[in-house]
Amino acid sequence: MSVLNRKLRRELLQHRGVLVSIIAIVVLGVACLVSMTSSYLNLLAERDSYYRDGRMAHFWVDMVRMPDADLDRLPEMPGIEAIQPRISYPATVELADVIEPVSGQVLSLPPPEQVAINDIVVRSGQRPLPGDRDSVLVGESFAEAHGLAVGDQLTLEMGGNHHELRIAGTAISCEFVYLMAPGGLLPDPQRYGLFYISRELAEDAFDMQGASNQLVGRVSPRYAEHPDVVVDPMRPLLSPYGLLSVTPRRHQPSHRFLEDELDQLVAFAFLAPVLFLGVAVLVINVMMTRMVQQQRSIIGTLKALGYRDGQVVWHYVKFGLVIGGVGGALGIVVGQLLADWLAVVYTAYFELPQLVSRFHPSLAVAGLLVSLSATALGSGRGARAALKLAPADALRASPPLIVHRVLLERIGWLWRRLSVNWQNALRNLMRARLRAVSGCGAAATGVAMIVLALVYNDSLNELVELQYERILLADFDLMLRDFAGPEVVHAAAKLPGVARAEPLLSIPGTLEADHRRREVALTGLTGDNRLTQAIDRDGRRIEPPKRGLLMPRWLAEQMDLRPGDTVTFTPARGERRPRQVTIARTFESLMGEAIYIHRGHLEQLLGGGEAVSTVQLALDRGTTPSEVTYRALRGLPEVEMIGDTQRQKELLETHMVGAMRIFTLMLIGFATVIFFGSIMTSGYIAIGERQREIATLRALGYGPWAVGSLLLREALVLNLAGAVIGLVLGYHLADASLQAVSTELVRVPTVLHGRSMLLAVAMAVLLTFIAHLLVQRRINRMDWLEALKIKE
Amino acid sequence: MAAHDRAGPMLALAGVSRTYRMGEVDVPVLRGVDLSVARGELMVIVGPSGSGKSTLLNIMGAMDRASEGRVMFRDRELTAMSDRALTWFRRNHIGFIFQFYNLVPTLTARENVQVATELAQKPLDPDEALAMVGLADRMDHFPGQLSGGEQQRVAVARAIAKQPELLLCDEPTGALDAETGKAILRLLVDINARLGTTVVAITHNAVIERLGHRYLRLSSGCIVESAENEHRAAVEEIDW
Repeated sequence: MSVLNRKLRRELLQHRGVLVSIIAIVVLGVACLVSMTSSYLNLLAERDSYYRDGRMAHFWVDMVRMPDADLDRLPEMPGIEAIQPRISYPATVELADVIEPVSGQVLSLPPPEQVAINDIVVRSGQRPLPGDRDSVLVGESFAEAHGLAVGDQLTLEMGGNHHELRIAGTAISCEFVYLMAPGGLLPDPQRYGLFYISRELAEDAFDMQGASNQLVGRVSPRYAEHPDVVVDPMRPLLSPYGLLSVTPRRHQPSHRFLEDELDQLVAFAFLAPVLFLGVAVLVINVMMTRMVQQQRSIIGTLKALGYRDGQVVWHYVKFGLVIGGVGGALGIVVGQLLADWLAVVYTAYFELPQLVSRFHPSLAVAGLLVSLSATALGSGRGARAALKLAPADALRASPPLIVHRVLLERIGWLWRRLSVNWQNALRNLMRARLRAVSGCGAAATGVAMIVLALVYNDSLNELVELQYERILLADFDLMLRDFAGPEVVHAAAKLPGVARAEPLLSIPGTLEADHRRREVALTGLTGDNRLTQAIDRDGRRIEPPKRGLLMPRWLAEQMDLRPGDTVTFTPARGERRPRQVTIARTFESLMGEAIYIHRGHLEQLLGGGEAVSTVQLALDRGTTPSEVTYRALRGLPEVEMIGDTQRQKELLETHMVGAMRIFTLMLIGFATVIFFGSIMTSGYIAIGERQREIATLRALGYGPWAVGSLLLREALVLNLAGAVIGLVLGYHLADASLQAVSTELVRVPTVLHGRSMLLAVAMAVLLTFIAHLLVQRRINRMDWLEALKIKE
Repeated sequence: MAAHDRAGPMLALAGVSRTYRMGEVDVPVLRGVDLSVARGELMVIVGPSGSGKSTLLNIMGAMDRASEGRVMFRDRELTAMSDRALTWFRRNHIGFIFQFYNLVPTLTARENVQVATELAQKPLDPDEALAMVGLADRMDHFPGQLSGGEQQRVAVARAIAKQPELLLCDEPTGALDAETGKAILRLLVDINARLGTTVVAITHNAVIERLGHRYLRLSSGCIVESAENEHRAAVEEIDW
């Protein structure tokens, strides 16, 4: 080992406290980069192979009924590779010991000789054989949630009849990686599942002999991204069969959620390392600038001995490289462990055949290179000073410090009120500007992370609050199989425990404007509706206009529509004839894609007559649904599915509380690492730099804590200033990331409560105090008598 | 018998001036210095602080550049060289000893010498160099564990280990008490005599001039006196 490397090694050991804290910051940056990117690659690879092996559909077509024989008679459509018909219906499920409403989607299995689109993966047992009218293959998560095994019995209510079936096996499918009940936001395997039955049973149960109500299809690779191009020409051919909707893959809920998750991983894989390594660059820069100053005479001697500038700078850059190398290597390990953990989390979240956390060597190399470059940048900037130092100048004592009056001193009345110690602290801060900026930047980043977590908490709480306390006030939504008259509402109102029953008319259909087309649902409201209301993002109720549509702004923008424009709506239920309707106004919608319309206007569009598609129920205030209520609900013959709003809210809250707790703790941990790294570096530097001043103060009779309080004052000023910047930075960071993660279904409002701001600042102060204790420890141990003798 | 009698000039300065810019004004530190150092000579330059001694030494050692004038090392003109070439020149020809030793505190005595030997073309063995300065048994000590005199010996060992042709000493006894200082001077005289190394020492301490073959007196950037010592004093004969 060359002698300069030996010097390096010993000095690294000497500064180990600061180094550990800086390395921790680098580790976090690299770990985030590696774990997020690795998770992205793992998830993407797993999705792609799952989609490929299962032949994931590119589009779904829902119709009322199409004879299978007619499918063969459809002309050959260019670009379409394969189309398969199937029967797909909602069903309710009866399980022994379960009183809550349980429902699911029933799908017919294709004949075994066919290479299936959206093929299932059987996880236990086997597929029901063709012609088997007594067996069902149950979605794996549902089976697990209810402890169901092969051979167990369950009852499906299909087409109004009860079918007692034997569980032949369990399965998962690439089209339901993320399975949600219609209108739901989160998977709820307790309440909603998948059920695959034989084609014959499906035909019998839903009265679909020789016919299907859904087509799934694949297109040739060049149309894979935009299947609409080849599917749209089919619409006229399919409309005689009661075309309800065409869903390209990019709008399919499961695919969309997976895609959103992948996008978020990419965003965080970029953002988190930039933040952490940015702070690391600042802190290393400060440390190296100081070290070069401190080693002026050594640099001069080396240069006098004949070391080249490059050799000297390289020696100092190596400090950074060691930090980058160690931080990068540890970061890769921690990142890989995090990626392994994330794979487990995702396995609980997404139903995938086998999500494996792989080690990606190229990612490890990238992580190391990023870390080395960042730390080389930080140390290189500091070491530049060594380059500029001429050997003769380096050997001369550094020029005496010229202290100017700081800006604050000009405000005489304020300055005079400050104690000498505060004046000294402020002067010191103004003198070491780079260090002040760096400390302030680190604190701002740390506080921004805390604020990020708090904004997420506040915003999601606000969202849930708005959604469930202001918008969705019903406890249950009874979705009816067919339109019904007002008598259903009267009947529901008399059920035990029900305080209020309201009719709702919600019509799915296609909205067209020029060549833009979208599957939507129109929700008819009147001024009497209390349980469903159009609410904007400020929580204000909006009355639906007497005529025309009240549309979410994002949807209008997506379709390039403005109030006053006319669009064509083709209902998917009832009389499926295109109708012209104008956009009356738009509003900021937070959740869902509901378009509101006055019920009278909607009924008129449908051809008159009072119609109900959903009955909304509110229970007596403060009560939870009793077994009697559940039984009564399930006894209503017209009901196809029961939406349980409270359950959705509970689910969202439990899921959110858990996820947010981890997220918040993680970010607070991150902030702690940053605060420690920054405060320890600047504290240790200050001690090194001002040994003589500290020793003199000690000689004058200051105790170690009194001396420490001088440094604490500086740290507090810096970190409070950083905290204020961090509040703003964190808010905007959260806002940008919430905008980025906002999907069409959920748009999260950015909210930061006053108490959260106070909490963030309080945490900044607390962390400053705790980190200062380490600096204080060094002051306590300082040999100040020795320091008094140091030449300057 | 003096070594310099046999040798031609090794280093020659002609009309060397050095001006520093301090804010708005130019401050002349050296004004038209002419001097030559003969091979094998021990020269002492004496002057009060502020007389320009250190600047002169730095220019002689290729650590600083003259504002005007020429510096020749044998037949090579230092004043015409690039920074890179000057670095190379220092590495191969010059040894430095500083008033405050300038040792790397995190390296042992031996390692401090190695800092120089790792660069040099034909270095002495660091252990041998340390033995020459009488530190054979202190080689693994860190500077913090050595007395000031011992630290300066390490610095001397570091300087001679490169086997430089020219050894430049900037107030080598300035931070030491008289006894320790004399021990260092004895070393320098010995190195000059035994190894034939040309030595230039600057000092504010006028008695030291008696040790040199020749001495110069510097005042306000000008050489005001230049003389040969017909009778060089032995280190034991001087005191301060």
